[in-house]
Amino acid sequence: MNKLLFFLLISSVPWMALAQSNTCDVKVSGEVVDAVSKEPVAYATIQVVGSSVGVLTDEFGYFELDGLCDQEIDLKIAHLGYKSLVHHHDPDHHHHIVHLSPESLQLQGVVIEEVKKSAGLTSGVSKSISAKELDAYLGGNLGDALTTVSGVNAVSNGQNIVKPVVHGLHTNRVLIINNELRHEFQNWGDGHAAEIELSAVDRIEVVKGAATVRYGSEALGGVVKLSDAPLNLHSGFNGQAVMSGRSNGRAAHAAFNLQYGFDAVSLAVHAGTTKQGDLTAADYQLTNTGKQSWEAGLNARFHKGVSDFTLGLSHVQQKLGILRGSVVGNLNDLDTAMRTEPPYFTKDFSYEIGTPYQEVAHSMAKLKGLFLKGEHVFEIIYGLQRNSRKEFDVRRGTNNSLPSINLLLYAQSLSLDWEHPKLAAWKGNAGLQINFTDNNNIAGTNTTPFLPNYNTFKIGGYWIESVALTASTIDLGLRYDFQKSDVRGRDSSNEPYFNELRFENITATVGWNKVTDHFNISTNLGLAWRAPNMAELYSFGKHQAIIQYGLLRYEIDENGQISTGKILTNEDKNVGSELGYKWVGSVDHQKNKSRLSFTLYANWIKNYIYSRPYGITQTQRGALPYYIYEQTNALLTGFDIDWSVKHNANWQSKFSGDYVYARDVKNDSWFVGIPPAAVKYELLYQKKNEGKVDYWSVGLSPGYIFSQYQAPQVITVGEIIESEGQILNSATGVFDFLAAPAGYFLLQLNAKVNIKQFQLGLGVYNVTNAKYRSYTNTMRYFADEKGFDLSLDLKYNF
Amino acid sequence: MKTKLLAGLFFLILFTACKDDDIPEPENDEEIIDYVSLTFTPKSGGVPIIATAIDPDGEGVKDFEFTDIKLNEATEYQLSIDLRNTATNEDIGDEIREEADEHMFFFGFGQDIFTSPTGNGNIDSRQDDVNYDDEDSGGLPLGLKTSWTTGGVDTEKFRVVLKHQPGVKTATSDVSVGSTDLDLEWNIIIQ
Repeated sequence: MNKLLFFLLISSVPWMALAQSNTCDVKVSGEVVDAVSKEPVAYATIQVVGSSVGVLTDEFGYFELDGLCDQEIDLKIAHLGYKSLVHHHDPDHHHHIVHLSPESLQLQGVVIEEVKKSAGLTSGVSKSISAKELDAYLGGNLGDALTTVSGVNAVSNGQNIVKPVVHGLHTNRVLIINNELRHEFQNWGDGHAAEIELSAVDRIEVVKGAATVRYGSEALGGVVKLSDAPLNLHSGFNGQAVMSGRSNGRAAHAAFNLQYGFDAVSLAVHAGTTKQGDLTAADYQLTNTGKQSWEAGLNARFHKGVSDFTLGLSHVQQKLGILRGSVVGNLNDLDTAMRTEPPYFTKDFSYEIGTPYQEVAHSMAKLKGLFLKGEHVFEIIYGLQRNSRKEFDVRRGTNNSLPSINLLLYAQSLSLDWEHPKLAAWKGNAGLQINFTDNNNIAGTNTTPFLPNYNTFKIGGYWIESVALTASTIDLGLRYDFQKSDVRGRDSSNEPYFNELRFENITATVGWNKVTDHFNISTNLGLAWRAPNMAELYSFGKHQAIIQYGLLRYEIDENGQISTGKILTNEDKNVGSELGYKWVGSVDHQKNKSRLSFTLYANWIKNYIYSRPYGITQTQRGALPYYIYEQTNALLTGFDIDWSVKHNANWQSKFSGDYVYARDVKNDSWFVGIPPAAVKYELLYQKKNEGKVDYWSVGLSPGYIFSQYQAPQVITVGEIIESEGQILNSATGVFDFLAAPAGYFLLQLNAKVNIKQFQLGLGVYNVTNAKYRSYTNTMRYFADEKGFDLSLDLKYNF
Repeated sequence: MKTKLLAGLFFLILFTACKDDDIPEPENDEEIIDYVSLTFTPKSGGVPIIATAIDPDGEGVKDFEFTDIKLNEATEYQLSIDLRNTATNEDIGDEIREEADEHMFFFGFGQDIFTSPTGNGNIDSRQDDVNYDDEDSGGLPLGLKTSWTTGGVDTEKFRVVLKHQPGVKTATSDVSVGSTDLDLEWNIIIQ
């Protein structure tokens, strides 16, 4: 008994907190899905063993049992054609994902327990992407898969480098947690995406509230949590293998994920590889946009008495091509490149990846221990990460084979969490997080690195409580962070410089959550913060056709005259941390055949760091505009909506949309690169148990992405050249070289067939081979987006 | 007990690797051209005329500094271009010569200030006249050495563009092809 209780506890997030008492108001909810197809199972029976209490799942496979008196019960889940399951429920888990296995298969069903909002705070709005939705992105990239969550968009630097945007914020303003560790990488600039392959990811959860109190700095927009497959005990052998191909880029992908659950030990391995050649836009080849990658990982769990240990190891290797025609040396080149279509250097299809490209490798090791002492739960996680990034540019002579950026980062982290026993209506936990990163330039790039070597030490402590009121819950949280960086770099004349940077902040959160028969209402106000990243502080010099100077690399005197000769310290210029105040409110409504979810938010960010044009300078490559990093105050507000309706047993509709309003309130202007409004509709027809076919479905999904109407002024490169830069002196504020691209319509199609353990999927992206450009892709200046793409995938479930 | 040991071990790993004070190794910045000189040598003999362009602060905000080109009227000159990286004391011209098949200089100047070549140079149109005195292995012009015959007294501009055209340099590839390694404009005074 004790063992079982513990097993349930450890698979949960220990700081989760939901109201409960000993009266008859215990509530259990969950969803029932087909273990193979991950499709919801409607009308499955959920019965409390030894009683007559029971419910049926709804059209979406959801069930909810309330008014229960016992904290601990056994639930029997059954449906015709499936093996029935008995699951022991304990008070700490209110939400279950029940995987029922078809009777015809060897497979055993499993129950995955989770807290409905595992963000640590019940009021922090979060959304998950299921394994089924991830199926549509086999061999694709993480950033694209995340866009299935409304309110999440992508910013990219070509099709291979894609980063998630949560409520208009990205890069250092969104925290990525991969397999319980904060993903540590070169998280700055436009061109670096997290080194994560989707085949390693089992589940994705996006926390849309400012979750700094629980997760630490940088979570201003939200948190993207990626989880490996859960390590189940007693589950025997299970897993899946996948093979897929895509016509666009003639890409092939293969991956597997295998697990064996013994009585006290569970082992899981996963691996995947992708090879993609040049992609194709509607009318032409996108030369040098190939990708090669592989990943492998191992997770092991050892369970004994009141202790539970987990070990995680993984490695990812990626070689990512960047469009050859996007390389420009000066404004004239940029002007030509923007006006030339197809882009220069466009060649026939090839798998070859030449300069410019990125070669990145990320390895991580995790050790986790969970200990129970009475009703106390202690969790300790140690993480070690190594991140190597080499970027190769088009260069002269032998330098072409040398990376122009070569950085190696080591990160260690230790986090301790203690969940205290429930005291009256109070539940909560407190913890300590220590991070240490060591980032170094690897010599031999033949270019003076603007990014210094640095060591950063971070320590943070938090305390979170949830109070159960009669019909709702209140969350309260407080956190303190301190961080210190020792910086060692070289200036443009190769002279060494040193600096020490210190930041400290107190953050807090308060939230409220109420669940009724049909509604789930939450509201949360959270503070978040981050220190400026090294690129924002130390950038110096040319990138493509512009020059950028970091916050500590320039001074402006009373007359507005700029000088860049000196490297500043924090005494010369007080660069404050970015501080975010984010409010999120959400209403979920579920009744009969309709589920509606609406999220509204407002995020005010003080000291928001951005770069803006300041002037033009005569360089060896002619006159180039230069940008300086500055701080301003920003307001981001908007909403996301998801609505799905089951018309009948076969037909289903889904609608989603999002909108962000982002404004520089200090300078009264727009920002460049904020995702435009988007709407998407999906019509799905599905059928079960037809002859030998267990399940099949066809879906058609039209979507429209609007043009970004709230974009800054446009000053074309031609205008700058013609005026010899004078136009920049008279213009104030941010501008863009090109107007935001027109809105576009995209049609996608997908079909799926399940026969026994096999699942065959067919997808068509951009059915109409539409020619379009995305506002949030930096390649929009040079080339169109990907055209028609047919994908075929075969999955086998063990 | 075991737990304490493990926790102790974690801390040990965490804090042993902490302190280091390595600064990045100095790099030879080979991309940079911060000194360009144009040497006009009269073909009939005499003192060469030199005009320079110097970058005072690398990638800093300060502009390139130019000295004017002062030529005599109705004189035939050979122009040789010298490109240097003063920080590493490298002759970039040597690298260009080694990769002649990937590089080409283009010139632009005031209309008909030279009697040879006539016109305004080949920046606006690749087929326009420029007297190249050197070529790559494929017989295509390079431009480190060129010939010029001045016309009458005039004050105009003289622009030099070096393009890097790996794999795309042809008999017709113009100034829009490839990426720009150099693009500088001098005042030219013919007296």
